[in-house]
Amino acid sequence: MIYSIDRFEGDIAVCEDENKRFIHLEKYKLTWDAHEGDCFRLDDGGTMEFLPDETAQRRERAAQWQRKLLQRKKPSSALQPRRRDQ
Amino acid sequence: MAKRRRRSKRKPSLIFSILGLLITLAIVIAAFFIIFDDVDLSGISLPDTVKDTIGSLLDEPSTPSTLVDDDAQLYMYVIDVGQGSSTLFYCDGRSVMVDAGDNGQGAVVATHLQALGIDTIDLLIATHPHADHIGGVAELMEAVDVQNFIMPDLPTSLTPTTKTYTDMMAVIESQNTEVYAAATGDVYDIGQMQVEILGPVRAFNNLNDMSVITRIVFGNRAIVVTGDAEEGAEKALLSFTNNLSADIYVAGHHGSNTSNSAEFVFTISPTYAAISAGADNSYGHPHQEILDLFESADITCYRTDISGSIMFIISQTGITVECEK
Repeated sequence: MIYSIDRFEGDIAVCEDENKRFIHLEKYKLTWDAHEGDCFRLDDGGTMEFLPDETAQRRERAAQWQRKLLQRKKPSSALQPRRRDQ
Repeated sequence: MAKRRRRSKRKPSLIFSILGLLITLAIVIAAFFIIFDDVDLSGISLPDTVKDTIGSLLDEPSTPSTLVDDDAQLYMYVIDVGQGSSTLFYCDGRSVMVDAGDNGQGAVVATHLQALGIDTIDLLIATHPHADHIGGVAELMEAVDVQNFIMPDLPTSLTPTTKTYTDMMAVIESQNTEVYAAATGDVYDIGQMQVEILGPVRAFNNLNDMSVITRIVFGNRAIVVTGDAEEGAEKALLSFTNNLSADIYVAGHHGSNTSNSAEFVFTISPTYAAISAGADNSYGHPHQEILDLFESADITCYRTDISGSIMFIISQTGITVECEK
């Protein structure tokens, strides 16, 4: 199963699988210099393998999608923020 | 030659003359009471109109609240979503939500909204894309119409790789919700609420610190919500602005000691704090030193892990609190 590190809470890595189920792993058990978003394979025997290519591909795909959403043209009736006085 | 308009000259009516006299009298008497502020009005016989005028002149000055009706109420709900966060602001048919809890909690949030008769969220803010804050967004948006959505504009290096994040983007895309990148200094006017985006004030290298920090202003009342912004982001915000005062503070990062630094909390100087945390959560939230800090600062603290969902009813004259349990 491939997991993605959603976040760290103190010494705990909160990891999500492809079905959005979560596991907790102690950070020191991660076998590489782990960061949020890193993808890794964890087999039933407990063997862990960091997947840098999978991580990079997912990041790029999500980043492109995010940019697309943020750059989507808004209608003239859309909310117009104003600037706050400091 | 330019035409001159003739101004009609009318004699002021007797009513206007009396009214003018009364107002002048009221101002003179008010000046008297301002100078001698321990004088009691009760023993003096004056027309009610004059008393009302004096009363309004002697009222304590307050922050201008031109956008808020005097009798308006803002309902703020810190919804019990277990270990996660979701805060709803509702006033006069308009709603703003900050975060939607973890995966599986979107239905809980939607049920809460439906019980209140809310089927549209004007503005949903995703503070940062950790699952305990955005996990419920996709499910919520299947049930409730979200018109506008604010999220942090993340660099690729911090972009999540989780299915939770892509599921959220898929729903936003499918529903044609308007999406805005959080921009510090922007203010969104939602009915009588002003949603100020205070942070992040610069780029950080972790998602917690990239949390969208908001200050909801409602006339002379304010609420600060910081997501999971940690001490570094709090310090950066303090160096950027000190206009952070609020009546209610939704404690950062579920009351963790990585957030809620003393200087930051003292600057906000809230009367109330609300902590959204799951009962017996694995992370020890809220941390005892933060509870101690709130107590030492005389901040009344409510916790969802103890009290369930928390409702603040906010008006220009006071705040009342009701808890689910």
